[in-house]
Amino acid sequence: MSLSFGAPAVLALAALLALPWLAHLTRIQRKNRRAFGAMFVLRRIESDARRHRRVDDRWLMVLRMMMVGCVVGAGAAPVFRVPDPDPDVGRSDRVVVVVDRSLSMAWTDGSQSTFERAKSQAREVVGALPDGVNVAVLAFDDRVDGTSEGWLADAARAQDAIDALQQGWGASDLRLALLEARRMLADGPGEILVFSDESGPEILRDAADQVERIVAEGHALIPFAIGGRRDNVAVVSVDVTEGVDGARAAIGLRNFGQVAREVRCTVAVGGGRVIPLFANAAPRSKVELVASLPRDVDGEVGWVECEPDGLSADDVRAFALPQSSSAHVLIVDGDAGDTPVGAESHFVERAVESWGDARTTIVSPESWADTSLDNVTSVVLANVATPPTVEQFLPFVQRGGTLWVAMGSEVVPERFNAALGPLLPATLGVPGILAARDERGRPIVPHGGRNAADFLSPTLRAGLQSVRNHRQVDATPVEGAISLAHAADGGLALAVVRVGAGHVWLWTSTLDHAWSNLPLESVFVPLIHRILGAGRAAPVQLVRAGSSVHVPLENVHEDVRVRSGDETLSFQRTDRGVRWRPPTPGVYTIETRAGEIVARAGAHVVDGESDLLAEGSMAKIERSFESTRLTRSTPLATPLLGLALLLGLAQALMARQTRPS
Amino acid sequence: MAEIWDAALLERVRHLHRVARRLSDGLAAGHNRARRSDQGVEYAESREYVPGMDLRHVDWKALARRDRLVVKRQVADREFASVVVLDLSADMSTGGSDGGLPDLDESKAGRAIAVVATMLAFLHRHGEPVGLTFVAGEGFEHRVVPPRAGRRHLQLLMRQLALARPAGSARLGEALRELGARSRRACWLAVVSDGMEEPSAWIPALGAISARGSDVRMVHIYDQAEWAMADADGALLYSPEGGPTTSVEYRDVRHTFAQAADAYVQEVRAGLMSRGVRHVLSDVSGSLEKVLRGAIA
Repeated sequence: MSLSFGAPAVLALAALLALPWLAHLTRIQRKNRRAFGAMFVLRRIESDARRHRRVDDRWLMVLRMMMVGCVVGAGAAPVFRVPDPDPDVGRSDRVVVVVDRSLSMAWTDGSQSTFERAKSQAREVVGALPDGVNVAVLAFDDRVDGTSEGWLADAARAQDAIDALQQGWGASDLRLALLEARRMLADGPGEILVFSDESGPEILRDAADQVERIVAEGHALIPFAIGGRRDNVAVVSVDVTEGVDGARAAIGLRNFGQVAREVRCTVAVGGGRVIPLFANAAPRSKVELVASLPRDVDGEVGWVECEPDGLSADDVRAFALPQSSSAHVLIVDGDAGDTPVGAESHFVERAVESWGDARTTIVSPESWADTSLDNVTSVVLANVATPPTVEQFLPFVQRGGTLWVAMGSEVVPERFNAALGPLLPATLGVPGILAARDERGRPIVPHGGRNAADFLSPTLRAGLQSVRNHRQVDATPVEGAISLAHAADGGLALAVVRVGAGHVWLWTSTLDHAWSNLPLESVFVPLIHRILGAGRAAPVQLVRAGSSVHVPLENVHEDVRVRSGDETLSFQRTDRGVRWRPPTPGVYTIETRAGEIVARAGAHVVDGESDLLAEGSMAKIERSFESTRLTRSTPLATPLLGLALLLGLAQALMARQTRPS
Repeated sequence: MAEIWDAALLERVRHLHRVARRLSDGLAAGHNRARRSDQGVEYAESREYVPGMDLRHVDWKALARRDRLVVKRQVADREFASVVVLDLSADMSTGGSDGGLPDLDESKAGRAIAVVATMLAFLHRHGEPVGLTFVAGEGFEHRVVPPRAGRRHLQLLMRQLALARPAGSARLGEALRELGARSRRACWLAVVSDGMEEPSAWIPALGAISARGSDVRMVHIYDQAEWAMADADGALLYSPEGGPTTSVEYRDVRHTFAQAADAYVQEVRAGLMSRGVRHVLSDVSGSLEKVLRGAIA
């Protein structure tokens, strides 16, 4: 509410309020005269008696001051304004109805979602518009869609258009919606009715400039805030970290509500296995739950699901399970060495042994030809002089196997390029010395970025920073390869490329400690697990429900389809993958016609829509640009004059009564 | 001058007599007026004994010599008169006189007149020659009535008291100095006044009279109800003796006035007692008998 004055200069006359005070203070005291026989003593304290001069007839003075105040106030033409809960609609001939369909509007109290309430209220308002008003209907979340018919002269058709609106999954972009509404009203003033919960930390702040322009252009912006108090708990993050002891999922829950909640969650890790968790979440706070993931999780999409509340879509979240599982690792050791620790395969074999369900087979390059790749999940070419050919490895890799190529003194780069060039993530060059043996070596710099993150977790990337190479083979990444780390001088250290369902990894240094301290660092074992476990399962991509997503498919040339459970979804095949819009949170698979899963996607809701608290209001923002907007005003001059008259009568009566006899 | 046969005046005189008699009876029971310790007596004459004379003063030597029963009469070595000074300034009128004859029960002047009447009656009863001097006031026939004994003299004094009413200013210091100059002989002196003048202006004069051997006391008349300023409102106060008015709110000055009044009384008391003058405080509504005992004892 606010109080404004039509003639504020009149308020300067408030100084007249002092007049009754002065009059009462200074007027001749109309007291009774009384003979006093001790005046001699009184004169001794006469200065004290005078100092305590009092205002005579205090209440009468107050009445008179109030009367003067009322007259002065009335002269200033005050107007009292309060927010108008029911502003008039339909005063212009064009009305744009904007309905928020963002994720936060999906909150339901059990009977009806906020979105349904918004549509219902919009229908009602449109139905009450006078004849001749043209209506346009827009719906927005992170994009704005209008009715395909543009302006509708018929209120019933406008109501049908409102009924046809569908709940979205995106974030709220109110600014975009208002921009579109302004565009529609570009050729003349009109009204913009916004039905939204106005929730989210920045939705109103971002839209403030559009509100200002709407006010400046003379449109009427009438917000209908729909929401009320809505408590919500959401799963906001799942971070998977891998270690020697296995992987852990750290699940972030945030209580956006104003009451404490006890939340029960489950973590599904594939194979029907579910891990239960409990949390006590204080109001407006975040709590973290940790679930230890079994060693034999199969690299599928993990799923966190918490007890549903009013907004159930954000109570679930997908995450990528670590892709390590039971494996058969075939190591082709190109340099058996003079001592056990001198063998290229020694450290890899020790690392695989720490696996829960894995075994290694070590062969020499000479006996490679007699080795079958059946039941082999990963092949390590460690310092091999004469590598096998592409033809020998391509089917293996394409069907999901992992090939890891590591360098050494036996490697002849040209032979590798010739034999395995099409598979390698980089073209090999000459070996180079980075540092002398007695020096520390060049540190490895892991790469960031989304592609690298798909292969190396933050823990692995951090661990790689302790690795130092004295020598490595120069390598140039090929198109489609993903560089994961380089040595401090810029030479590629680690790279990967997808080939069909599998991967080919390249480590440009050794897997023993001849050229690098990698096998001696703590990152070696989890790195082995990661590399040699990758490829068995289809890659997982985490995407946002409701948004158009693109999942790359490297070296997949067959026809594929996108499925969610038994349902096949429409999608668009691109040069490098598939594009589609996951309609809801959930797990999606990209499969060949034969049913082979070539990729997985876990869709979860957009971040930022779970906070249902409305901070501020659009009406308040609008009033900040023009204070008379959306208010009901009451002029106070006449009531003040009436009050002044009453006070005048009262003070006259009181003056008569207090006159001394 | 009021008519001798004025019924109201006669009634007032009778009333004074009654009051004085009642109070002086109470004072006389078991009470002797103390004389000053340095007051001496001497042989005046001898007389033939007749029945009724005091046998304590029989001249036994004369009986032995002349075989005659003779009684000696003794007198003080000096004549010790009693004088009462009554302040009837206009300030004494507060409490109910309203310009006419003061109410004997409710006004300061009335209280003062009652005290003086009683003193005069008591002293007369003891055969003392008594005199009366008015300071300020009006209505009386004689401002100064010299000390004398006798019933007629007492009647005269009572009449003057009955006629008197407050008026004018006391100028107490001047009046007491004049009194002191008029009578150089020691006497018994009572000053009945409200003392509403600067103490330094009149206390020394009273002290001078005491210093010459007189037995001096002051009966200090005040009105506690007036000094209490019990009203809730204020008033425009003025002195009946004239001067500017002062507007006061009682609630503002009540406490300060009480402190000032107390300080003034203490100043007067200290000043008088340091000069050998007895100070007796008398509230208008207080016990008259107690005051008289304090004054006459």
